[in-house]
Amino acid sequence: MKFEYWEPDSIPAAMALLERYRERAKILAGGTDLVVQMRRGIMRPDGVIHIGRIPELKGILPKVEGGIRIGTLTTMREIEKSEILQSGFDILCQGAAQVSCPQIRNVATLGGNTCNGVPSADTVPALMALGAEAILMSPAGERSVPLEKFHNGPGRTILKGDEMLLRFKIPAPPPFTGGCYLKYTPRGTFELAIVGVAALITLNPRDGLCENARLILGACGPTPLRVKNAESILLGKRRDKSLFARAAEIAAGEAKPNPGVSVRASAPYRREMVRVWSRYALEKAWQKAEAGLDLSSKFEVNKAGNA
Amino acid sequence: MNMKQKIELEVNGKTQEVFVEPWKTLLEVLREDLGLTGAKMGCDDGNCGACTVIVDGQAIKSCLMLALQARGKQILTIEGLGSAENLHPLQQAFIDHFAVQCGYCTPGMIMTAKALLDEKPEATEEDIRENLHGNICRCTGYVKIVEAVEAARDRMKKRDI
Amino acid sequence: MSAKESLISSLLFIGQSIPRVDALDKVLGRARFTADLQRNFPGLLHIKVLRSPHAHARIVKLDTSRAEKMDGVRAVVTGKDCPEKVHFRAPRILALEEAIWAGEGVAAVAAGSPEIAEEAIGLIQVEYEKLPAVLDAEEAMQANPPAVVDRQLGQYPGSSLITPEAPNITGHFKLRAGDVAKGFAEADIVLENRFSTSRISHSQLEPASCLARCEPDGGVTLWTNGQGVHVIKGIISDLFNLPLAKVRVINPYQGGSFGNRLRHYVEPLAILLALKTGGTVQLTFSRKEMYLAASTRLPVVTYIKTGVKRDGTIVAQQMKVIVDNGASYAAVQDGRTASSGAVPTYRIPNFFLDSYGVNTNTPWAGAYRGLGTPQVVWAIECQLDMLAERLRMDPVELRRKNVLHKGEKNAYGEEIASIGVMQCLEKVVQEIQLHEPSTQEPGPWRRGKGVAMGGKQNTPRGRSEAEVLVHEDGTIEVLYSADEQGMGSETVMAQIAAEEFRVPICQVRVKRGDTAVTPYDTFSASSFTTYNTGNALRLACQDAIRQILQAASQKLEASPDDLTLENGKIMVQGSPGMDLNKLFEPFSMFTLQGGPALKKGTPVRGWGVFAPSPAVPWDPETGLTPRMWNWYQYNACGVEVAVNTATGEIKILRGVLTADMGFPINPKMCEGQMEGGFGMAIGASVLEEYIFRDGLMINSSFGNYRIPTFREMPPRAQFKSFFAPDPLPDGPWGSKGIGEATMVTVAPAIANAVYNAVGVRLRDLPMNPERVLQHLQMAKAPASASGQPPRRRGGQ
Repeated sequence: MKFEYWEPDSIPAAMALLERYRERAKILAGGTDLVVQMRRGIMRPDGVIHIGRIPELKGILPKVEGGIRIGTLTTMREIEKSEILQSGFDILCQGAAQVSCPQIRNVATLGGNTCNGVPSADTVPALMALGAEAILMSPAGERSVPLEKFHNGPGRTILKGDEMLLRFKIPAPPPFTGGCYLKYTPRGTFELAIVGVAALITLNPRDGLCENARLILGACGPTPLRVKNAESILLGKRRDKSLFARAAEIAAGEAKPNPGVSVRASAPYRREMVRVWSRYALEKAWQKAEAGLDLSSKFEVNKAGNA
Repeated sequence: MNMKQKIELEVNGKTQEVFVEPWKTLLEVLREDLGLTGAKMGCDDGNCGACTVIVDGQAIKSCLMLALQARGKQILTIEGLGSAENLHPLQQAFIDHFAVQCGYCTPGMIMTAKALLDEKPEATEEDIRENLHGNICRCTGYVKIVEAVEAARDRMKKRDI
Repeated sequence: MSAKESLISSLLFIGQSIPRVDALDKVLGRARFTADLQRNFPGLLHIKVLRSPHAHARIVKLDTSRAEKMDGVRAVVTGKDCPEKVHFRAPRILALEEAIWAGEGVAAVAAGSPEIAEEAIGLIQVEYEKLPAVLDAEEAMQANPPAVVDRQLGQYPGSSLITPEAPNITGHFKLRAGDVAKGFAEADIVLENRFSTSRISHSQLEPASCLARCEPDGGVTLWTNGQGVHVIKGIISDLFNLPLAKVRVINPYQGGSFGNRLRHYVEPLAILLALKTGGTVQLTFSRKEMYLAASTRLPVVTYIKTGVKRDGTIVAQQMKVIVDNGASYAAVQDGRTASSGAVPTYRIPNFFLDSYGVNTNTPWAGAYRGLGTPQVVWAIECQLDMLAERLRMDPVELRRKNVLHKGEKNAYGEEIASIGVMQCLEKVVQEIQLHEPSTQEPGPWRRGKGVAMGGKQNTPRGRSEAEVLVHEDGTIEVLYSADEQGMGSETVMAQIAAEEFRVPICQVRVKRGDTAVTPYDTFSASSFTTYNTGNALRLACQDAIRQILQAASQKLEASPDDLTLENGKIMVQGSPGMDLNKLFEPFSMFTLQGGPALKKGTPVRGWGVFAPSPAVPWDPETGLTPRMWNWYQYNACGVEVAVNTATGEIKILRGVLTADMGFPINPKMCEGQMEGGFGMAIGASVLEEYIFRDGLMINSSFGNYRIPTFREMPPRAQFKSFFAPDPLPDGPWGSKGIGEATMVTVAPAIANAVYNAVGVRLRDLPMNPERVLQHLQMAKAPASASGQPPRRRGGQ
């Protein structure tokens, strides 16, 4: 494992290196994925571009028109603890908080987690649920790619050889939105997920019906998977246990776990866990969305049906 | 071609100059170049936690960080935590509560616990179990480690009064 | 107060939780482990190994020329460079014509840096022809199996080819006590079941590591974390034809072992390359190599048939135990050790047992905490609960009815000298409140409770020697060669010496594990270091004291019978006589300097040797003998679990362990063994297994090999350990050992609790969520033909 090492102190400096080396160089942010991969011989770059000291790549900033901007170097820990993100974007905080263990979270970055692109990444389903966009830069200029389109295979992204991820743009979720990301493993957050589920629900405050639903599965296919068919049956509906069960059933059917021998779980078991945990995540997300609503005589609530 | 780069690392309060190849991890440089063998290698991929040191106040797994990344940062290892005459409360508690058996996980475990207690002096047992769960121990079953960290927490709280 | 009580109450250190003597160094990060020594050796060469990815393959081509030519590479070796001799405690160093498991080494490189060595490995050109592999022990043991794992079985010492038609069977132990046909005929209920355990790894935190230096006289010095410095010395001398006087083996601290380091899988390769290069080399296994090529627990399949009368008396038992050695003769392969878990606890008048060691093309197995006993007790303790249910009998009462008592004989024919197992069980039953059902809560989690008990043998093995040096200033050195892999032997030895000499512990220094300095011992295994080496040390201390009192008796003109040594003072009938240091004469030109009187500069040297009385050979056709094993340590476990009926997860809510260790020399350290054993057993019971693809293990990382973390243990207040010691007549102050029995009872206690919670009976370990959920779903589905989910086959 031999490589050259550069530490550009600005984005243009990083761009110059990328333009010259393209796929022969890897970007190093925190290193918790890349260093392991290089030592295992999975990645053998000629050079490593450490972007960790570029100030413009850090920080969580609210945008003027609402929404938020998160620099690629923001660590999982910073996201987990961010007060700005906890009010409104907390599904992302939940995702970040469930990455591995504290030592990893202190170093691992949102950009790194996203660009590493494993299907079980804990922050990507949350980013997708929030409708986040990745802002990329290359010598040709900036472009914006929705997270839903960012991954095109296990560990594969649409990043071009001379392109790097600068930041994430996340629109402000409407009021009365609740989100839940959960990660299921037999050993707490320490392991990669057997299934990860991100559920985001927005309710209409006047009638308590679902206005928007997002259901994203992690670790159930070559990339994180958005289950549109499950989302659509929730729209315009009231909170209902059997509705969640049906949505979970659809999600289980659409999940694409690898049928071969897996170190973590068999495909049938993953599917079953999608069924169990999608339901749970949807209920939780809905509960959170409702938390801001006034559950009085304004509209009917089926008390027995309250999950 | 000699690819070593000269960097300065601040380790345990002292600035040290080292010549390192880019692919060397912080763990390797601490152990091989600086002789600080308290941090250990127990696995291949950042899972056991035996390599944990504190960088800029945060517990990190030094096997996952290239040494060059640590330039300009303040690094604290087990060797800088206390001395035989002046043990850190965590070190004393690990002795008093029999939280040490083979001792291989001990330095990493103590450093992770220190980072936790520094940030959260009121850490509960649940906090301790959750925060240290990236440090694996095969000998103790973790019971006396939790006991020791709680005892250190209580002693450190008293000292602040 | 009884004599025993007054003896115990007069003890200063024994029975006290003295802080560990090695804890200070360890919390300071100063304690040296083997890899920590590397920077002391300039010019050190680093070894990397090329390993076969195939479970069974012929090595068709192996071309190391490109690697040899690489800058920085000092030597490359293959099977052709290895000694032809084979030692039964050391796996074959490198494959020669065939690689017989996925992970076996086929070539090795010594180079100036680990990176160069790794790159050189990549330059070795190797071609394999895949051969049929046998990955399941039951398949492997059949006549004319698909593959023969070890073609040389029977041709080297320590191995036997039992029947040529079934060439993968390495051992067959038979127990024939009574008449099972008659026994089963008398039984009112007969129950038959099959149980299994999976391949798991010790996963001790410190990887195997050694450092070998060629000496100018052609000898070698070896630093290693392998166990048993004198045993390793003998193996090296034997394998490489090196004179014993020219081999020195030194142990730094050892980072855990649990039996893993009782086979020598790094030292021979390091010595081979040290001799080839004439330099100093180091070999440290990666974590992946620790999984692939560094000993595992023996997977065991147990067929058990038990017959009981309606009142619960066991009248007959028949067992077939199939022990999967993996692919090496270094496994514990005669099958006998697994049998020992079946015998020490219950009265079974008619008992036939056949226990087989079987080779397969999977990573080789060796000693692992409990040595076959946990696997067999897994079957027995589950079976007993199932019988209790059939009998509509309290499972505790069923055990009480059949437990052996002191003075009785077990099925081998051994008389039981010490058995505290029932007291252990009563204690856990009380603590876990077994007879009160768990409180259930709404939601998917169902709670239940279960208990189990059992024992583990101690092998009467070898002798231990110890030396003690008493210096004129009253400080004492203890020299011994057994291991310190974390269980606390250094502390126990310090306690023993401090007790014998009645000096403060800080005056005792322990020097361990250097064949040039410390006397012969085997290693720390079978939980016997306190017993074997401790007894030897007591004798050494008493020898030194005798010499001291002899010298004092002349000076004081008193009979040695009237003298004792008490914290550096010679006491005459209890009153101070003289200081010890006055006994050491200073140098003088005018006095005789040689001779028996004590002299300044020369410590009093006490020496002791202890060996348990030998085993008595058993008839190979019946396995009966009045003495196969030495003593038994016993244990009982009670757990309360919660089972998630939607996911199959098992959470351990509460755990109670009670141990009979004879006498707790250091109570806190005993607790540590029980807590650690419980944690390790949780892993073995509900989490850990090797996952194979085509015979290659694919979960070789702590990230996906499910070793328990903090979160898998119950909270501190929910785990309790208790002692119910039954003193062993010839143990030091009555003590036996404790490290292993804690592994024996946890899995069946959990399975019994799971059954109590959700009414499903698991028979295969690990009880991971997938397997539990399968059972739950089958229980809900209409009854199928087999009634059990398809059984997982080994190695696949």
